[in-house]
Amino acid sequence: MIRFIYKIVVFTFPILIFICFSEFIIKQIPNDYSYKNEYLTKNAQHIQILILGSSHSFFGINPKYFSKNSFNAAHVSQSLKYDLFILKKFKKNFSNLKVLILPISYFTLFTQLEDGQEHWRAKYYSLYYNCRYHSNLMYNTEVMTSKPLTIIELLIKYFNGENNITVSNLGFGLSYTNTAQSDLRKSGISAAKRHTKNSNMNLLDTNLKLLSNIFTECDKMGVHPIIFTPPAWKSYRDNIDIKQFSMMKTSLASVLKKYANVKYYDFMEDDRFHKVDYKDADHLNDIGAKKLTRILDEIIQTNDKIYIKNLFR
Amino acid sequence: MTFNSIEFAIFLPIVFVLYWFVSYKNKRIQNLILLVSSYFFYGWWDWRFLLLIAFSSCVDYTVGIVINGTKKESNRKLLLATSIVTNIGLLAFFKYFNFFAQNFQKAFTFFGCPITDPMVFDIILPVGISFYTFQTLSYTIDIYRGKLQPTRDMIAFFAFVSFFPQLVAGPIERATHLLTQFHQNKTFIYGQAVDGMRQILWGLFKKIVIADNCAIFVNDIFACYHTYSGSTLLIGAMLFAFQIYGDFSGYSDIAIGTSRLFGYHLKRNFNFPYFSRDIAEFWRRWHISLSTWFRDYVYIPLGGSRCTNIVLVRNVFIIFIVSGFWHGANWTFIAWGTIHAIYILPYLLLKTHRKHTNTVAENAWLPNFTEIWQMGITFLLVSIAWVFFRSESITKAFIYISEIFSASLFSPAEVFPKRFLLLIFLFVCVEWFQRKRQHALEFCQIKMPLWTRWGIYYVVIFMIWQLGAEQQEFIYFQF
Repeated sequence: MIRFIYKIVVFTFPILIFICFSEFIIKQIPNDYSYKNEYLTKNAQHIQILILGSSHSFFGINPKYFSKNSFNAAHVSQSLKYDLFILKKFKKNFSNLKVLILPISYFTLFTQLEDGQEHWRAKYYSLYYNCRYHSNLMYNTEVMTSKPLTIIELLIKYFNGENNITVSNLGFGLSYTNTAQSDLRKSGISAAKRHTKNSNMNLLDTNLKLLSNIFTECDKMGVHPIIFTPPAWKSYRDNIDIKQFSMMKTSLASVLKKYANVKYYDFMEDDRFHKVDYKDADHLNDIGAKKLTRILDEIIQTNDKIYIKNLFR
Repeated sequence: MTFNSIEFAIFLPIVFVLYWFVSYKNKRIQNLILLVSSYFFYGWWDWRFLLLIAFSSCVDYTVGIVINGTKKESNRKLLLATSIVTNIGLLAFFKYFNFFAQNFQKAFTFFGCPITDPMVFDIILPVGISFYTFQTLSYTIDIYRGKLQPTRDMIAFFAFVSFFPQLVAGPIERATHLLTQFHQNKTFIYGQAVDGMRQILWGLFKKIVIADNCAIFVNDIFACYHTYSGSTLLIGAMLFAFQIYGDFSGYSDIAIGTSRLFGYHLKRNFNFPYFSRDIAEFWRRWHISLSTWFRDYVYIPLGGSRCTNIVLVRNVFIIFIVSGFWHGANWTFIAWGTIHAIYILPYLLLKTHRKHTNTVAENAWLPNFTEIWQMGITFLLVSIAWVFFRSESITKAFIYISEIFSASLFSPAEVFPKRFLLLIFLFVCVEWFQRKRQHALEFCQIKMPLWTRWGIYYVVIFMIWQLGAEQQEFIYFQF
């Protein structure tokens, strides 16, 4: 019996050491989440335009093309719960924030991070944003949701002095820059199928409440939210569930009625976006991001003029 | 908590230490520890389930004692009927009530008397109910038959019914085999515990690497079967065959391995079924605990095969249809059972069902052409039947199968995961070369240097960690 326990301990000891060592080292490697948390902590007071949301804004809006100080605090698969969390976490420091930009995509109101394929990203909010939504090990450690080869790659990066940051200094996602375009037809069909399959109608009420909370917070802060449905290629649009999309639009309209300061723009079929602007059927590349950012900047400037005009009436 | 969860990884060592160290080798205390742990394990799913298992245990414990003390045959039958009605009644209500209600409604509608509002309940199926009800039924039936003396040790009996390694998905144990072990003093046997750990490791590999990865492709193919070619659908059916094997036999390996840590022997539930040379052999190697349960408690009492051919055909259809229905409240499971009845009947009628009782290629490294052909045909037939098991409805299953046997069978498959299929091939090779053993890692018992053995274990752990897919629920938990 003692021999058995001794052997189990000796056998598992190297595994435990590897796990603990890796956990400690990986947390030292700067990544997108730690970078954005640190940036917001130090610079929130300078930000006038804040971008939140999922990969549609992470890769779709490049802050350097805004005429005001802006920052992209979006993350891949970030759901409304975490958008609200980031807004609330730094709201005391957003002394100059004027505009909040948030995408409401086809699936946004029917999904949450923890239910999707990328659920493991919830750990980043716990580890690097100090979010206390989860208490289990899976969402509070790096190693539990990482593969050993990925861990070894990260350890090599650390010892080579590299980091894991894939964003620009203003938070724009760089992974799609200078990469080949995916097959728009195939990616559209597969993304539409995936987003529809992963959508859960039971989450609509919860997400609408979260959205309302975001608008309420903005109202208290004197911030104007601009929400938009991002551009998508024809193959994506043709394969989504029309009923779900209508439900999204109807539900959104019902919330927007209560908030006069919120503006909504639907760019999904906007013909200003061409094939050359897309990385895949539902994500823009850096050319498309520049275009979208400039469109949003124009909207903001127009709204400013209307606001100033109204102010001096 | 499932076997491949962090909660179980914490639960098991605690129970292990309590069992061997705190109990001071006292049999009663050990049984009490197992009982409390098993109820804790089961209650983790849903505490309400505990009421059911406790009720079922109480009924059969009492019935067992009273049957044994009763000489009058009519009273003995009445008591046995009480046990059967209670256990089958529980199973029928929780698992089949809505199925019968909805089908009665359809039948009445068909005959022109529609029922607009059938009584349908929102019933949660208690995990493991199909397994433990059969286990306790075997106890009372064996007492009735005079094969077993009832136990007056309530703790031992309750622990036997709720024994956590095999509670939620088997193997379905007989009281004559498992309950007697609860009455024996336990001594820790090092070799048994170590091999138990190996079996757990191999079970985890089958579940996490093979089954959960198969599930990714199977779910997609079955969800969108109407968009895929026959070749893809055939791959889907075969991948499901590996998914259900990896899932269920993996669970059984973990259950058996875990039991060995506590000094208990559970019966083997899978004996490399996909190396079967015919369907009769397949059913001697697949879900052995269930098929032998039906053989001993349903098939043989009906007359078995020692009867006229007509009665034999009737018995075979009854057994396989009931066995299919045991799996779930859906016509697809009944169809699956019926198909297997049709498959096996020729062997029973021609009395060739015991042609292959030894291990395939017993004295050779590799199978000969005839054996490859036999195994291939058997696997194909089994995979086709699995389509009914996996499909949501009989219509969809028929469409799926008809598409397999269409011209598109010869067109290139849209889904052809080369690397994963290579992994499956390697897995089959490993299982092939270990087909004479209890499990594929048993060979590590042979004397080899420590670093070699531990190297193999580390490689398997690395593969589980690296290749493991998104966690899927154990398929048999739904039964």
